[in-house]
Amino acid sequence: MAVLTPLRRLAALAIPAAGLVAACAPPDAPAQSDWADQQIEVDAGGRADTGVVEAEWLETLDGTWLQYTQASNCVDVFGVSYVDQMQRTFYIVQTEQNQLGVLTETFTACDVELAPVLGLQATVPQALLQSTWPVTVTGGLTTGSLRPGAGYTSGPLAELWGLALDDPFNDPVPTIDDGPDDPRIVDLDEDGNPGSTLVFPDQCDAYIAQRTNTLMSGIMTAPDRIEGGIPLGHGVLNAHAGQYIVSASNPLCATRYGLSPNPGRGQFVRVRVDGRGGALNIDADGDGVITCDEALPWKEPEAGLFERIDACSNLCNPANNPVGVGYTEACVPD
Amino acid sequence: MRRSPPRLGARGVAAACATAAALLSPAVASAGGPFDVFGAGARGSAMGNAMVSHADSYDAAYYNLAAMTLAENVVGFGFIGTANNMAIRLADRPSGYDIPDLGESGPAISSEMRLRERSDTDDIGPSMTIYGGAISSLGIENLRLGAVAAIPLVTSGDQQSFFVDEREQYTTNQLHFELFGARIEHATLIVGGAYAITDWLALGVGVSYMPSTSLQNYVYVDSVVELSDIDLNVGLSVPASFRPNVGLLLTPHESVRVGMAFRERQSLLLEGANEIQVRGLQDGEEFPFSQPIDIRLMSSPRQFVWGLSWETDRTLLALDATYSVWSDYRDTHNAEAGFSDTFSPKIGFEYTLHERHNFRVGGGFEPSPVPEQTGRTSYVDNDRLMLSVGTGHDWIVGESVLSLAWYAQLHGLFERETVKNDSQLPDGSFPRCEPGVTVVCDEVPDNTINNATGRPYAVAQGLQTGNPGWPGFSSGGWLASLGLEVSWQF
Repeated sequence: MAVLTPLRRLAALAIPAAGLVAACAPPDAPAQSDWADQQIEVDAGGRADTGVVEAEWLETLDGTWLQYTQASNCVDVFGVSYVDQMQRTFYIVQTEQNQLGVLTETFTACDVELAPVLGLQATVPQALLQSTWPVTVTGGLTTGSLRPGAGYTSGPLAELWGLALDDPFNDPVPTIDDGPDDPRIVDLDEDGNPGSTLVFPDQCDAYIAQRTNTLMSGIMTAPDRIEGGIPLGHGVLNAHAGQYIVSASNPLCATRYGLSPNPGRGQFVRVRVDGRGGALNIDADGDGVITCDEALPWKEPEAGLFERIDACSNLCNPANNPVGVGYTEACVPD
Repeated sequence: MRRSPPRLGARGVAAACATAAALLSPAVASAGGPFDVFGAGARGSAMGNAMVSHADSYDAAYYNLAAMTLAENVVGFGFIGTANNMAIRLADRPSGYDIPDLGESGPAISSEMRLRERSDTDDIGPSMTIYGGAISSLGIENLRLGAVAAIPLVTSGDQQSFFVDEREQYTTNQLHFELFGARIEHATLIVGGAYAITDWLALGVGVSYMPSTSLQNYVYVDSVVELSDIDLNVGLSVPASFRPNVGLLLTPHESVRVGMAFRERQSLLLEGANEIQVRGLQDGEEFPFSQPIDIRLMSSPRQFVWGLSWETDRTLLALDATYSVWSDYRDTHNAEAGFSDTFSPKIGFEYTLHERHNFRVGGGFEPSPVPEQTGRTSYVDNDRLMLSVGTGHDWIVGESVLSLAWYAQLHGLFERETVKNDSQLPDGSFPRCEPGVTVVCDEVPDNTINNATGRPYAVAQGLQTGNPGWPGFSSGGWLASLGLEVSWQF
């Protein structure tokens, strides 16, 4: 057998090594796979075609309306962060207007949606909805003509969760100093727990006593549409409101946060839905009564009646107080 | 090349001391380690790790304990250096599969919020390991005690547990080679003894040492909104665990040897729990919260090795076959990996160029135990072909022999391409990502209800996944190893 010289031995070894290196160069990523781009059909948020022609101007607001109220409180999480806690309430509003133009409005909440705080999302159960509403308000006014730009002001709306007050507008709300046994705190939803129960799914329940006062002010933007704001701020933050977390199934739900006013963030939109004057008629079963089951499909933006506004927690931080700047410009949506 | 019978003397006592020093090494160690891939000792590494039937130095403590009976009193040390260009390349993601922003209380965190971008794995650094060993007869002719140990000096940096599915997007957001990194870059200590029962039969037994770490951490959280400010105590205990190694050496003919070795599987276990107290949650039924820790690193499979060698005056040819029981392999999170057992052949050849100067060459093939990863998991591994070369040189110094040997190995990882299967449910959707699901899964299933609206998320219809291995990946490259060893036989 011929003996290779040292140089040839090295060369003989280098050839397979070089071949192995060449064959094992770092790979390229796989070429385009069978996975195609995925298109998700999402309504851009514009109004859907409801098939309704423009409504006629009527001489009265009598009738059935849907109202979508979006209001906000700022939650101060121990000075560490600030949360724009949106509350979105979807109502059926039954309106009667007397000869003097004074309104009697009956609000029935079909859904209350609370924005999460620190990842905790409270839901309002049916028992709370049914034990709190309907609430009838008198004293609402319009500026008369009901033409474009006509003004509207609601009567004071007091919504009591877990409370029984002789004067729902002015009696003080019990506080922690009054304790959980205060007679004004009642098991309104009859679930065996004090106050009304807010449910944090898969987490815990909070038993609260709360009054929310709301005063709405807006204008007629169409014969079947009123849009406006809540100039004094919403609910728990105005002078006649308050919240007391009586107890909770878990201490996490009993955490009390600091609430502060966010008056510029409240708005409402009310749309006639009883078909009068050519308006939209959502009385699906034709029984002359619009129920929550008939109303709820119209809550979503896709239905084209209402739009959701963004929560802007950055504006709740006192350091970002948008003095002289509109919310739209200053808002960084959550 | 065959060694002379063992002798007793002062040098034997010195070797015994060296053995004892290795035995008392405090190194965190386990079976296999770098030896499983690169071999133990420059001679074995140069001969393709085909050493079970003829290892004749302290390297026999790893290859075949019974083969220690071929060794004289010896002590030595060396180093292993590695470099590589191994890489895992991720396929581009088609659009529309990211997790959208579903709000603070949404079922998943938006893909835009990942702390680290999904990226290729091509930054595996070099490594360096030193090793040493010794064998002593303790003056008993047919007895040998020996040890071999390795300690990594520089590691490639991939020494962590990792997930092989969508959960990894929240940590490194990369894929990782399953059977490299920490598994072969850790300290190793193997000790054992061998006895030549007859001229043709020797038996060896030993253990490899592995710590089994137990953690009990205590956490107190004073404020759920100040999670960076916690009170923490760490409880750590490191009880030892051992795995048995057994070797058998037969010499049916003066030029033929047959070796057999068994190595039990072993892992470094990190087990225990975090006990967490959160102020404000003390009245809950689950208080205090317990987070179990169940990590296993550096796993070596159970192995059965058979070897055959044939030797003449100037040549030695060795063949090894290793059966590795990967089917019971559990990954770094102690999950069943579903690997397959493998059978890997090795071959080594040694040629005496001149007296006491040897040329060595070898090779081997390691099939990957990892099956196709077309579903949820992305275990990364490749078939591997190894070529090796080296030389050994002995010099007589008085009554001793000083040996110097070197080797070079090149491991080629055959390129492997993985494309995930589009395995939809009958209704065209993908199953929810949850335990037991093995196919490509949806992190936001179409029927996930938005608690705020009571309806499914319109923007999360179809498949949403942040699995780093989706929709596919390629892996390959090469791994080179170079080593030098000095030993002293006396």
